[in-house]
Amino acid sequence: MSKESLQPELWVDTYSDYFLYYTLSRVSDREVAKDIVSETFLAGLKSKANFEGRSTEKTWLTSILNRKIIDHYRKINSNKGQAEVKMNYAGEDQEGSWLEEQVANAGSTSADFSIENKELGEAILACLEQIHPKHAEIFKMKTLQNYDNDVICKEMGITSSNLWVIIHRARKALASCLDSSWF
Amino acid sequence: MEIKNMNNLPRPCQKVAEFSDKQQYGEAGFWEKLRVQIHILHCKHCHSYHIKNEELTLLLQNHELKFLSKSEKEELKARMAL
Repeated sequence: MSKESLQPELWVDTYSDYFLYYTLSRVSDREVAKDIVSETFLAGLKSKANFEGRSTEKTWLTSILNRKIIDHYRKINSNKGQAEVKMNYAGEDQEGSWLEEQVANAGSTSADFSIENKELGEAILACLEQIHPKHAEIFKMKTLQNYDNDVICKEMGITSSNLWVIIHRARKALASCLDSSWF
Repeated sequence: MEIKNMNNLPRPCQKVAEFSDKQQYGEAGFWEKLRVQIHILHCKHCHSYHIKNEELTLLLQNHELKFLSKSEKEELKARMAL
């Protein structure tokens, strides 16, 4: 089995959207989520010598991200006082770490994210990772960020008719991928 | 970069696929929408594509995904370069 290698120069383009979504489903503040993603990449860079290649780059970075999210809750917990937070924890008949469960269970941390929504969001982002990066970027700009066609064409250096061909390919690939992973 | 065809579809189907896509973004005109409706009456392939296309639109509309903007990504890259 070939060992995985790290490509830090591609981390932001490849993983930042997925990590932002993943973090947002666990901490509801966008700015905090952005900081956590940024700290994750920096921590990944610092400890890249420790990467042994036994897991994928994404799995390795996700484990760092989870640790950063736990650190975030730990900081909140120590700032606000542990008693206040633990009073809300239905912990008497539950075992395990409150912090670990907050990270593992999105439904308990943010009312905005139902478990189904979280899974669907992750399925969409995972499918977007499988299509051509440029097509995925154009699809996101057009469909999810609502950029004007002119802006997309200018930024990505394509013509209007190419835009629709790329959108068609991306939609078709996404529908087919979601068909197997979601519907 | 000129992309000539859409996955080797027959020409009328290519056009209908494009109109169906435009329709998902509210950018298809009246005649384009009409052409889609007439075409999918007799073309199973386009009918199935159009239905899937609408399902995908609904799915994406009901799910608010949040992404980093291009400038935010540049900012992240700059922080990583330090």
